[in-house]
Amino acid sequence: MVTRIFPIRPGACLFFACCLMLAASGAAAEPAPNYFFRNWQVENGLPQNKLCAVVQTRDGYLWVGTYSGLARFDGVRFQVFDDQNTPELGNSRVSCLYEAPDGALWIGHEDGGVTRYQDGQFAPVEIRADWASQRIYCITTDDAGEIWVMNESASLARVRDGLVLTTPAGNSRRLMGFTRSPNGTLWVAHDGRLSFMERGQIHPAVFNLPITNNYNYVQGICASRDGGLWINSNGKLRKWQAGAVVQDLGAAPWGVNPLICLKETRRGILVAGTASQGFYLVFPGTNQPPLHFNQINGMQVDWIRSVAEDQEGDLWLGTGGNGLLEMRPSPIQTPAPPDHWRGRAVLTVCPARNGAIWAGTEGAGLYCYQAGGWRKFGYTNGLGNSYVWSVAEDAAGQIWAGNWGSGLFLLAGDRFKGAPGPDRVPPIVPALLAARDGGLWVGTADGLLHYQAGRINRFNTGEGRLLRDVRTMAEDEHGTLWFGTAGHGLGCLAGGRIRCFDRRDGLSSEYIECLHCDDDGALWIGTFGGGLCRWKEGRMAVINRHEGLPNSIIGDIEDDDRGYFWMSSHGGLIRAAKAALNRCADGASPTVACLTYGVNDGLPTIECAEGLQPAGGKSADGRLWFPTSKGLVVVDPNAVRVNLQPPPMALEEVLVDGERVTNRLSPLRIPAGRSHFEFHYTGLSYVAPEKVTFKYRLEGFEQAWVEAGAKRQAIYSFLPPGHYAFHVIAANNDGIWNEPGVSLPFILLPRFWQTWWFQFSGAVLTVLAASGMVWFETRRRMRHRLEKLERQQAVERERARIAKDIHDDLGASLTHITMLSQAPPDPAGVPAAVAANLDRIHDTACELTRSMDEIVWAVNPQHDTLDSLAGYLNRFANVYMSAAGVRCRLDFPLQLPARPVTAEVRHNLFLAFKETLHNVASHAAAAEVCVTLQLEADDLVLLVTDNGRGFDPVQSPAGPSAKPDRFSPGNGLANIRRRLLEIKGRCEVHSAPGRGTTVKFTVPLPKFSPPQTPNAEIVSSLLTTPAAPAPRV
Amino acid sequence: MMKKPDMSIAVSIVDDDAPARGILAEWVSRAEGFHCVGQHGSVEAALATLPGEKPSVVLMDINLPGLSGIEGVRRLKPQLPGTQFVMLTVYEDADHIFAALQAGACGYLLKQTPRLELLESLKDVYNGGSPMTSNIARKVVQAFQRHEPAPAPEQPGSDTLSPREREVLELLARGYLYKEIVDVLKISRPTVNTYIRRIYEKLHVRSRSQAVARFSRFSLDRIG
Repeated sequence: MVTRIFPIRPGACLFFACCLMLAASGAAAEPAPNYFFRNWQVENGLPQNKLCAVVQTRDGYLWVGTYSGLARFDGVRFQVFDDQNTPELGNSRVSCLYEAPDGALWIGHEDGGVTRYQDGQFAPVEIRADWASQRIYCITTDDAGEIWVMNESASLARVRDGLVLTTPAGNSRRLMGFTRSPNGTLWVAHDGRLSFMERGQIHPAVFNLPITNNYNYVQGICASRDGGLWINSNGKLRKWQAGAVVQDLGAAPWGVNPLICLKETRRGILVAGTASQGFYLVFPGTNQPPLHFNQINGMQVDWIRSVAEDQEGDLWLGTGGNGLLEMRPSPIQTPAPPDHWRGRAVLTVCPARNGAIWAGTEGAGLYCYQAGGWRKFGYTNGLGNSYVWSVAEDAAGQIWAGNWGSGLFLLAGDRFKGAPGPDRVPPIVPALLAARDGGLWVGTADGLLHYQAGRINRFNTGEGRLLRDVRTMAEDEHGTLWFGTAGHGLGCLAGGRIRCFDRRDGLSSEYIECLHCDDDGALWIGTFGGGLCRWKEGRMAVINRHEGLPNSIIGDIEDDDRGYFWMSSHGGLIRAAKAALNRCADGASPTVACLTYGVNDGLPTIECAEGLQPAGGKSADGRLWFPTSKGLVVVDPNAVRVNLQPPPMALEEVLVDGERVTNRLSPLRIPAGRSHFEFHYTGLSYVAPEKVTFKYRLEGFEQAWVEAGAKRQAIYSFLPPGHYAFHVIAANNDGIWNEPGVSLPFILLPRFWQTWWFQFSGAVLTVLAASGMVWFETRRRMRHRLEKLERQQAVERERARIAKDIHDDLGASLTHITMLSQAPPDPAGVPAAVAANLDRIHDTACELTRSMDEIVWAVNPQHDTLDSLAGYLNRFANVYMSAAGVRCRLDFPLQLPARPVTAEVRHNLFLAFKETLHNVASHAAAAEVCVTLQLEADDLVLLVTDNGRGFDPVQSPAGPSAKPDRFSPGNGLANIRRRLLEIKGRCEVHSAPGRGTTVKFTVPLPKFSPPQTPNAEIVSSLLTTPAAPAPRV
Repeated sequence: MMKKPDMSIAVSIVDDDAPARGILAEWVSRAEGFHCVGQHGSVEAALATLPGEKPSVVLMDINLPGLSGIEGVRRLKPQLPGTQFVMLTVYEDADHIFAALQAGACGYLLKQTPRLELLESLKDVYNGGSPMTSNIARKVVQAFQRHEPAPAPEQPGSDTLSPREREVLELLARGYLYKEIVDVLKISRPTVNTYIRRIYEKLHVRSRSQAVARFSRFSLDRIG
């Protein structure tokens, strides 16, 4: 996945919260505004750290001009345009930026060129003016709506017609200033001399200024929103209106230093940037003293080149060498002692009623912060050791500190001493709570104890179990004491009785971190890993991550008295509306909306302290204090600004199969076959860009919105063709949604093969192809079979020819012999010897004819059928037996399957049959012979049964005494058996003397052969050319 | 029995084998009660002149070049309904013999049949006898059992066997000799002959009607 969003590398981005406790000098003044700064530099994607211009366009983007190109910033990513990737820009060296009333961005270049950017397109603007092509100082619009360009010599050129107006110069070289009044009057300070332009005319500005010294020049000017003009001259800062000073702020904090820029924010604060002194904030109309930010007080920036205020009220400073600086009021401060806690974690904090803030640390002792000063207490100040786990102020205002390993201490004067009294407090004190009765509740590893005036009341058991590791306690208005343990659940001490709660009572975790008794009687329980629980009216409810809680480790709960709970967690500070929490706990809403404050809001870390009490506190001024592993944090709930500005949105890029779509026509038509879609969108909120969240939906593909979190791209793969609309909406850091969001309708065109007509013809083609293949395969097989058949037929033709030759030639001659050899009709004239010879010739010829008949029958392939075999055997038996004078009975099936019987089988079976009948006729002395032919499975079975005298099959073939003429091995039976063996058949003889003989031939037939005739038809159809018409008969 | 006993039997011979034809003609001519009315070397020749000879019996070689003997019977029989056709063959080729019988022949003789036997058979045929071997009988039964679409019979029963005919045929197929059939069925020898003659006729009618059916079906095919 290619991400186009540059991740902010930790460490590459400088965060620093600047806590300027300038109020120390004037305690009566309202608290100094606290600012959070965020810095982006080259490492974060800026083209250069020297910025010439910063401007926010109305579409929400922040534009930064540098000599290395123009950068568009969305809070997360800088998109850089320079003459390399954007030739239309003409020149990468950008000297000024201006958004015209029509929304176009005008870009002035160092070489005097001007470029205009509108609707995503850059185009050079020709200035047809007769003037020196110098660096463009600024671009603006006059009271007539004309665009003017001003160069470094403070000459103004009208873009429309190239009219050039020059302003009178003063004596202070290169001291430039420009501002535009809301009514369109343009003010120019040229070398320290002020003039203005109205209705296309330059007028010298004449102010009735009291000359105090010879420095009579203008250091900086700034149009005020109320129509006045702030003029900084001669070291003074005054506002003029209608020729008179309407507000005099006296001496400017920057003295007589020239200003690079001066800007009045929407709240009326003046921001003054200098070239070497950093920048100043001036608060006109208040008694808030000016603030100064420079390298000396930790800003690392002295050279300010441009100031802009965004739509959310944050200030953007373009610096000369330190990149882009964002400055915004922050409710969070991180006060730290000069030794910065010696690098140790702050564990516990207790704001005392006298304004002092007590903070205990892990190994750096106990700190007291009061009236801007820090005091530190350690071993030398009476504490047992420097591991201070708990600190509390009792009802009498005494400060108690609980130590790890050395018990409880009481502050006396400027030293701590061990807790007085006869009873000794256990050495490990993780929790302290001022009791309503003036005493102290102390949580220890061995249970709960109540300490008052040296007396200790121990609560070691509850519901029969030992109480262990008490970490937090809270006392409600009825005097009920709730206490939480690490791993043993929650306890409740009321009327001297202790009740215990654990998971079975609905607790989400038995590691209790903090307890908070709310005014409505509810007990809020922060747990380690189980989020938040609420015990109210006998019912336990859980709010954890599933319910929208950002973190499940809640170390402390503070009520800001403005309807919000502030909770410290391992994921920063969490702010949630109590009402929303209660609704969620009541089951009225499934989730609760929470805001999180993290390092981008000024926290040094998101890991807040937990597990000890107190792990947070509220000071008298309403500020909330939280210990963290990297110092103390204080939040001013009153300074929390809810960002009501929905983030403007932009769909920056659409990538289809990795290619950027540049087509702007609506609806977008995506060519067919594209499958991978990437939508790069952004939400333009700069208060906390990382907290801008998105939801998107591809209409036509999905019904529900996809929760994208902070992800700024959506990817879809393998979309089917159709009509779609991509919608994306964004919420700012305070959860304010830009409901309309942005949408992009588009059409993914179908591939030609995805169209109905193609799919239809494809189906047809598939069917055709399949049938073609079947046809081809059939044809191939047929051809194969045909070849085989042809070979077979060649053999058969040969056999048929032999049969015909024998029949025609030999047969005819033999017939002649049989005919001629017969006794003449008149035997009288023939000698007896001749007549006898003739008879023998005749008989021999007849015998020969019969043999030939058998041969021809066997050879002729026409008789290769079962039926023919049956017929032949039938006829032979009939004729032969009839001649032998033996009754012949034939039992042949009328219908025989069309199965081929090879010539070999027919020939051998016939000869065996003939031999058998011969035996019957010659030896059996039978009156009747019965021939039965039947099919058993795949075997042909031929039975020859006679009713003759029979024989003993055991004795007869074995013994020499047996008749040599009947079924003896050397005689017929052996021949019969051999013949049957040749055709893989067998011959069985069943006989007994006087009981006839049965000879059984069993011959296997080939499995199956399709009828010859259809085959021949197919073959002939194959032999003819496909296009040939069927022959007509 | 339409034949007058005192009349000599007119025999015509069709055989391409000239020597054999000559011998047969000689035999017939010399024998008492026979006279040879014609000799033909081919069916083609016989078709032209044989009907004019008005033979009582025709000896027809099955295996002839050109038109076969079977075809000869098929063409001549309609012209000479009273003439008995006896096939001559060297080999007992059941299929050919059966085809000839279907065409209208009423028996067959092997060419090597002794002279006296041959003459006896001719006389027998002339007198209404009908030789049929068990093998042929089997084929005839098959022919009548074959499930072919029966054409609309012009005369009912003209092409179906009567139970008695079927009985005779089946006994023949099972190897019974004529005399054995006479014994088994308690009928006279001439009756057996009559049955068999009738069977031959029905076979002929059947084959003819089937040919007609084939032809008409074929015509329809061509029209359609």
